[in-house]
Amino acid sequence: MKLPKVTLAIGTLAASAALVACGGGGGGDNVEDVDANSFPDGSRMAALADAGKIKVGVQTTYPLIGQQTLDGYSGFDIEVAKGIAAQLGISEDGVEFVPVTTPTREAFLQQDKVDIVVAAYTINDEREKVVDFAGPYYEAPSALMVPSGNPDGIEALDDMEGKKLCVAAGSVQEAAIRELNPRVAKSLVFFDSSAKCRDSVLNGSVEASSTEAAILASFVFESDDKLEVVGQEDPYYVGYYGIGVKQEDDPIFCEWVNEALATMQEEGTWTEAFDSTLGTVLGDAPTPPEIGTCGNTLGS
Amino acid sequence: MDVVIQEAPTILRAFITTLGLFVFSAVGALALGTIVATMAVSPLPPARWFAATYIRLVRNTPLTVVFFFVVFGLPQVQISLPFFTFAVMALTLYTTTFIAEVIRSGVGAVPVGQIEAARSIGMSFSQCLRYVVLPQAARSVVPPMTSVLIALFKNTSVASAFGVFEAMGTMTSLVNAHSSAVLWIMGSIGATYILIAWAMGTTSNWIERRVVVLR
Repeated sequence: MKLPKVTLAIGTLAASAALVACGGGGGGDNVEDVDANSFPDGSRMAALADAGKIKVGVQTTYPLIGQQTLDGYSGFDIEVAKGIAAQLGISEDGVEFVPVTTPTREAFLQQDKVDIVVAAYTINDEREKVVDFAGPYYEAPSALMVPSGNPDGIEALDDMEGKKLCVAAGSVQEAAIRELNPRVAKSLVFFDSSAKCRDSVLNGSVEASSTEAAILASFVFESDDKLEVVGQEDPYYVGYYGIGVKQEDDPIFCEWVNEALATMQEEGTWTEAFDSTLGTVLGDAPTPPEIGTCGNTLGS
Repeated sequence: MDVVIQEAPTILRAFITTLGLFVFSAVGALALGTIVATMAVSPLPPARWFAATYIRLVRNTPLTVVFFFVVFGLPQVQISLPFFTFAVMALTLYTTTFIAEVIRSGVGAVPVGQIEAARSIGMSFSQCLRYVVLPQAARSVVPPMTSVLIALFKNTSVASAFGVFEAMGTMTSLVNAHSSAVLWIMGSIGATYILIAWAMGTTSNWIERRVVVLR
């Protein structure tokens, strides 16, 4: 009979989970107590709930999505990450944000440097070879940004042939433009952040810049109407953000994140997260995208 | 590995841009560095002050900040140039200070008797510098000069964040396109940097053996 031992273990886990739930407060948020035993033994959810801590890979230069300022991290991705953590009984204080970049996202997941990546991480087949995606949790169209008044009369990506178009190196926009219009790709200008592209549009070094429409909207919002967004109605590229998790033999954690996302949608936390971040420039929250299957997220 | 072979032409083109940045900046910095070093050792106080101030200001500024001033500062005063030119300017301005200091240290290594002898046979300051001091100084500073140039070669990677699609920018772009081969791509780009820098070091050793001044 192994029963006594198991009972003891459960008791210990429950006690530590309760301790974490009590000690975790202070963030001013009410995170419900989650019993680590409600998760399958040995699962990542159980381990995270037990530890009361989660490490989340995030972007640092995406305004309204994932941005690091003097006040800490803010944006839609940050709110989504907190919403997922809350369902593990982890309070805001227990969420550790780790800055990730294009070359480090996959490696950080594989090496357990982060538990999840919520970093404007667009789902594609190439990435699905090395990580699993939960979600998608956001549909992100790309657009172009020009000085207000649109002096060069740019309406769509194809109008950028022979003109300087600024994108962040290694961004999904770069990859999409290379595939869609090689002639535009020839005159691309690369910076390491979309904010530098914005500054180059402002000082006239480039004719236009491109990234997610939401980011552009926030730049326009901050710029005192010195900039405007074009090509929004008919986006040349639409990306779907997923939550990256480590590829494991048993996709149980990825499936749980999908359930957590579904719960956020049902309970309205998804809409709240949108309203407090992207909604400030984009207006009303759209219908969230349909959540896919782990391992074949977009059903391609 | 297949990805690296498949993308070899892209990587090669990227390193041609990197080498372009290096060659233009190196030529510019060697020329300007010699001028600034000359000013630093000249008998004219304003020239000495100018050189000292320039070296103090720019040498102690992070390269990224120098890039910011050039790439985002100059367009503010209506100076708009291609990003490659901006990058060469930033790298040249920055590296000039290090080269000037290396040359100045070489000048210091020339025995004072040589300078006194040159001046006593009627050579002017510039003649003395040109025919006596600088040739000897240059020979004695090959190793530190190589280090400065290798540092410049690697510093060209900062240009990737300022509109120049060189080796580093290409790496980020390739890594994004091939998420399943990140280490291969980074490894091969890193290895190419090492290979080129190593060749520079070896060439420098050879030059040093040929030109060394025996005292």
